[in-house]
Amino acid sequence: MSRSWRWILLQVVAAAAGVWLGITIFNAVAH
Amino acid sequence: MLGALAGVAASLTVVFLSMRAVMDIGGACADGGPFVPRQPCPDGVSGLLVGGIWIGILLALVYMGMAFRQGVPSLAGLLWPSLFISLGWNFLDYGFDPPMGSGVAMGWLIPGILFMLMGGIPLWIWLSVIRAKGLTPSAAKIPIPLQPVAGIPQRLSPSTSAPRVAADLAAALERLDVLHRSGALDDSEYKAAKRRAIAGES
Repeated sequence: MSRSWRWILLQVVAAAAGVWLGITIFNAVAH
Repeated sequence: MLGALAGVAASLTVVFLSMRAVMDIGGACADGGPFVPRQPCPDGVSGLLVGGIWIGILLALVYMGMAFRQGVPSLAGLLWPSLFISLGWNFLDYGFDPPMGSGVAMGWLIPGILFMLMGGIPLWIWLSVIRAKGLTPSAAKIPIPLQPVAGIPQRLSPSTSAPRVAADLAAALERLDVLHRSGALDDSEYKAAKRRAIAGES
């Protein structure tokens, strides 16, 4: 896998982790 | 850079969910102020919305700046479409099936269609550009003269001094390194080009 695609994959994983974090924050703060 | 991107995604998610929470209670709410709000906001949602928007914008700028500086391919072109398509989805979802009252809420359908267009058209353009040019990193688009890489051995005249040759080789290797780090050259191409550059020098 080329370096570019490794970067893209890493970023997709980071974005997915961010979505999970967003849901967690929302559930913790909003009632 | 990855942390900033995760932060942008988290902000987008918070804004998306907060918007749904507000739409659940009719689409408008107010807290504080001189008047007693008729419809109080769900707890914490107004802060989440405002915080999510501002932190998201800030982190998006950090992410784009870092991606550009490092010369790596980025998903920055997807940020705008993802914001508008996700919020447009909320408008359409609640427009077709409003939580209060029955039928179709035109007041939500119209912004929904507008948001979808505002996100969809840039997304379509982004995809066409990617298809045509690939996910080239922004920094790597700065033209780098390739001539020294390909031509060092052939173009140097016999009278060229040794320090000059060494300097040209160093410059060529640096350019190759930039291309390799940006992804324009994969590992094997990089090694082959580097070998050629070094072999041509001696």
